[in-house]
Amino acid sequence: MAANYDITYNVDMVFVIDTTGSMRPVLDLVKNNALNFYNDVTQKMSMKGKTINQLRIRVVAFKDYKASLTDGQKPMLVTDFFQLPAQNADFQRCINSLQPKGGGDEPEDGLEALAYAIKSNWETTGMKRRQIIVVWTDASTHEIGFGRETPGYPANMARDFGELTEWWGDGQMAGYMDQSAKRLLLFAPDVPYWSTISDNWDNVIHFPSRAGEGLQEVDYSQIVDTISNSI
Amino acid sequence: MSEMIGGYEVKEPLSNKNAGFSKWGFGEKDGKTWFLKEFLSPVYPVNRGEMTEKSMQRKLTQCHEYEIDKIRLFSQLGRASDGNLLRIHEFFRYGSKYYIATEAVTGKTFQDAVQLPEEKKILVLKILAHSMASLHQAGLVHGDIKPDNLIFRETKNGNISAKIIDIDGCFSVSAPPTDPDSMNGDQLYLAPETFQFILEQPVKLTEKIDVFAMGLVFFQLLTGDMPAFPSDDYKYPFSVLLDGKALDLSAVKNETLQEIIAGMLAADPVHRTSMQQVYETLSAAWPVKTARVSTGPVDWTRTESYEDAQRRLRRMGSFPPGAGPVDPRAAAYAGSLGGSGALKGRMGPARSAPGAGAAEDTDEFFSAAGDL
Repeated sequence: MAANYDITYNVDMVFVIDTTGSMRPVLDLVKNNALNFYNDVTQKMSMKGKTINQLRIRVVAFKDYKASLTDGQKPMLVTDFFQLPAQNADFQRCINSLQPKGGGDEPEDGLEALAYAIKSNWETTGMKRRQIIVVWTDASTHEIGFGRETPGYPANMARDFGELTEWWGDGQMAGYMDQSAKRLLLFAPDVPYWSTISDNWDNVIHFPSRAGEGLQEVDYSQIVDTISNSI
Repeated sequence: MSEMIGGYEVKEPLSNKNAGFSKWGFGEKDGKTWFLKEFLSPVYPVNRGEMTEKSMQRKLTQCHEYEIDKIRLFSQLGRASDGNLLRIHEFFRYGSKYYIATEAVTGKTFQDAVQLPEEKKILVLKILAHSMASLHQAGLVHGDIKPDNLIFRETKNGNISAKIIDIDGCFSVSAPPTDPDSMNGDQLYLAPETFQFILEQPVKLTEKIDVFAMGLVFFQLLTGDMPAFPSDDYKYPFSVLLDGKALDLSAVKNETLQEIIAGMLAADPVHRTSMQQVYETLSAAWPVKTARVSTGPVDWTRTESYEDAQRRLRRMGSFPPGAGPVDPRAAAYAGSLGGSGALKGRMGPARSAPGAGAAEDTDEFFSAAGDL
């Protein structure tokens, strides 16, 4: 009988992670805590009186399209959603496979990575839904389309920042995510286009990080707290 | 390092800790400390060069409607407050974000109030009842009544005051929420009809959701605990009532108080008592006048007209689309961004790659990102 009256949350998260050379500190942090992540988040939610019915995580790992022509790194890698806790071990192995390498110039192709995240195959059922994108980077972004001429650049990518903004949507015109469910958490420097996003998109929390330092100032408890507060 | 937000000096960055999806903190202005809350939606478009014209006009319209709505609501709230409902001191936009500033209230917690002697608890009940009745008579609903949103103070001469805070999420009875996802309050204090609303059943939320929540708060204040119910079968009071069962109120020994609370916890909002009735019953049973409870009639019928709201908006600095000066920060952004040239000069030294030989085994889970 209690279960009939529980307000439950179906939570989808997409971790958008800069995997260029300087990002070792935060990559190590995520690797060291991937196995505990599900328990830590559900415990936090339980303390707030909120029950997570389903938690899925997907990863988008990005670098730099143009730099990949010379450094041989794959500029954009994506996974399907991992269902936690059933796929905890797979999620851990996935995160462990990420190596901080390459990148070329300082701006990276974070906007394309964000586009992939926005167009995820989001859960649309459930009493309450949360669709959370978490971006981790210590670099600014190229304009979207900067690497358009490189082989493998995706067709149907947003033409420009304006179109990406339409994909995110707003209170009057829905984008590709559920307007009341979506959240974007930026652990990124206060530089374009991250600052442009936090100044113009709704439902965004931006934690400005120090450029080029691999987010070493961020700790795991802050990540869990921030994510839990956004649910 | 401090920053200025709308004239408030903020020394510690705003945080979203225990805030749901918003940010909060404290700011100094005019020699006083204020509580600031930053809203994450809607966002006023300041980087107009980076969005389509259609998108910009849409956002401006959305923001304009939001401003009018909030100014009216907060003005109504200010007139409704009997001094124990926290007023919104200022509602403003700074850059692309909207903020409210309220008095930074400090005092004792609910747990401290539970330790008060019975006669002072009765006084607290009357204060809370009067404040909520004032709010409801103005056609407003708090929507998130719970112990954490009550602050208590004991004055030097032994009087007690109780302040109801976190009121910026209030709504008008004439324009209740339509999005079930907008109700994110503490589930323990949910009214039965609020749960039904979340399940997208055709119910309308009224001021009676506050009465239910306040009934539970009254019970806790008097006894230190929630009403008893079979916790193996149920997690929340509302679920007991939705199953047609009753909450055990016997821990409240005083018959009059037990009856009052029973009326506040009626399962059907139609049969649930009103806060005005609660206040009148308490006043009749314990007729001791307090300094914080006013008794005169108040005109709740006057609300801010559209024209008044427009004049207030112009003083704030927000203007309808196509009219009035723009935010100076918007002009600064327009100058700094413009085409691919904007990012020149930001390219730092090339990153050095880690030593060769580090194994890469991403193929098990990752695929190259294809077309969208």
